[in-house]
This record gives sequence, structure tokens and C-alpha cells, in this order.
Amino acid sequence: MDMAFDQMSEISDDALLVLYANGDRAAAASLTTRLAPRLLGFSSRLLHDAAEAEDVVQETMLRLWRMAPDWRPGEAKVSTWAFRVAKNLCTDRLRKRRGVGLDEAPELEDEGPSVEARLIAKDRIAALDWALMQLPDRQKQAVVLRHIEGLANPEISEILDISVEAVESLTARGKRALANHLASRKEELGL
Amino acid sequence: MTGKHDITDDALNALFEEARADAPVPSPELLALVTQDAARVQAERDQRNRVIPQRSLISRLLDAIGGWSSLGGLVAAAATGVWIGFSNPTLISPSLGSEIETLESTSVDDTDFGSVFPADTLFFEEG
Repeated sequence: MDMAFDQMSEISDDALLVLYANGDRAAAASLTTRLAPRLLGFSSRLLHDAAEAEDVVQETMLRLWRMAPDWRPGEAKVSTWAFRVAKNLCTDRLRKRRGVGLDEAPELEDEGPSVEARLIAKDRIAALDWALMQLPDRQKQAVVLRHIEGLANPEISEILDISVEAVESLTARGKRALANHLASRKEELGL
Repeated sequence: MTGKHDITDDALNALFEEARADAPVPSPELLALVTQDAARVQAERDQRNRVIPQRSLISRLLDAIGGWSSLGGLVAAAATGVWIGFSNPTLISPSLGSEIETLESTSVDDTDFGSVFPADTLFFEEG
């Protein structure tokens, strides 16, 4: 029998996934409500494309449903697993978009916002999004997870499969690069 | 010390805060697609579980010996064996019964081996 949706608020993601694997559809709805907004925010910042970000959310959640019977509670956080899958899917899409491997992809030079970017970046959030897009992928992922999604460094280290020290280094460099990218527009953006 | 164009950590953190508050909200269509996927995956799993039910020990044993027809043959053979074992030999074949009686009443001493085996085949010399 399915549990009532409002009864689910106290239950951990882990337990919800086990409930879903055992046939509880309300558990799936509850997990979707919890995870989909976070995954969409993350994917949107990485891809800068709403439709592609929605595809990534749907694909990530589909993989979660398929993996549910094999989930071992207590070993990892469901959200960490989901962010990791979403990150990989975003990376694949960015690679296809560029047509070259990430390692071969040249890092974008700090040329300042183009005319087009200036037109698009009408406000502060758009300017931040533009500046994020100028960062190398790893830096961008680390900054978004740490400073926008609000994840702790150990969780980010699991998602990006790097050490906590490497996460700290990436976020620090990412923040400095963001500040540099936004510096020329400091007055305009009221920063 | 910060220069004229330097952006402070506080300013950047305020920008992150705004971005967090401005996070995209999943459309009802996306949420519906995700929950439909969940239901479909669950239904497919249920279907698979029904198609391959847990098989009992008896049905696995039956498969090992070749199914119900083989089991029928095995039972018939066993019943025949039991019937042969318990039946009086005369009931099986009247002629076989009389031959057995003859054998039982004849002693080895009375047997004329010479009429069965020629003398030159019974005795021979070595060397």
C-alpha cells in the first residue's frame, strides 16, 4: 500500500528509494519533488540551456528508478548519486556540443563579455551565469555545487570524484576567476 | 586591499545567494514525465517478476528427469517390476513354470553330461 504523500516528508531519501523499489509510487513522487528542482538548477547552470537541462533531469531520474532495486541503503546519499549522474550527463552534452574531448578543449580566454553576452546579461543573475560559462568545466561544477547548490565539500568531492583539497582549490580558483570576469562590469551590476 | 574593479567576496556571495533564490522551477510537465517514468519502470519490473515466477522443487525435479511423460514411464516401469516380484512364476508363463519345476526336481548326479558334450571334448591331454 502506498504511503500518503505528506507522511513522506520525515522519511530519508534512502528510505524513499527502498519504498519505491518495493512498489510504493507515492515514494517516487516524493523523491521527484525533492531531487528534480536541485538537479534542474545544477544542470541549467552547467548547460545554460533549459530544454537540455530538463532532459538531463529526466534521464538522471530514470536511471535512479532503474537502479532502485540494487540500492544499498546507508552506503551513499541518493542526492550525491543523482548529482554525479547529472554531472556526467551534462559533461557528455558539453563534449558533443564542442565536438572535442574535454581534455583537448581549450580553456576560454578572459576576453570580457561579448556584445551578445552584454545584451543577454541584462541583470546580475544573467551576468553570473555568463561568467560561470567562461569557467573551465571542473571549476564551474565545483563553484555551482558549493556556492549555489550549497553542498558540503566532502559531498562535492564524491560527486566530482576528487579529493576534498582539490574541491577547495577548484572553488577558490573558480571564485577568483568569476570575480575577474565580472570586474569590468562592477559598476553596471552594482557589485 | 581591493582595487577599484575588484569584486569582494561579500559581493560575490550576495550574487550566489540571488542565484540560489532564482533557481529554475521544474515545470509540471517535467514532473509528470519523471513520475510517469517511475511508474513505467515499476510496471516493467512487476511484469518481469510475473513472467519468471519462483519455481518449486517438484517442478525443477520434473524438468531434471524430462517432464511428466518421463515420470509416467518411470512409474509404469516401477509398477511392472513390483508386479513381477510379487507374482507366482506360473502366472507369468505356464511353460516357463513347468521348466523351472523340472530343473528343481533334477539333481546334478542324474544329469547325463555325455549326451550333451561329446567325450572327446570333455577330456584332453596337456602338452
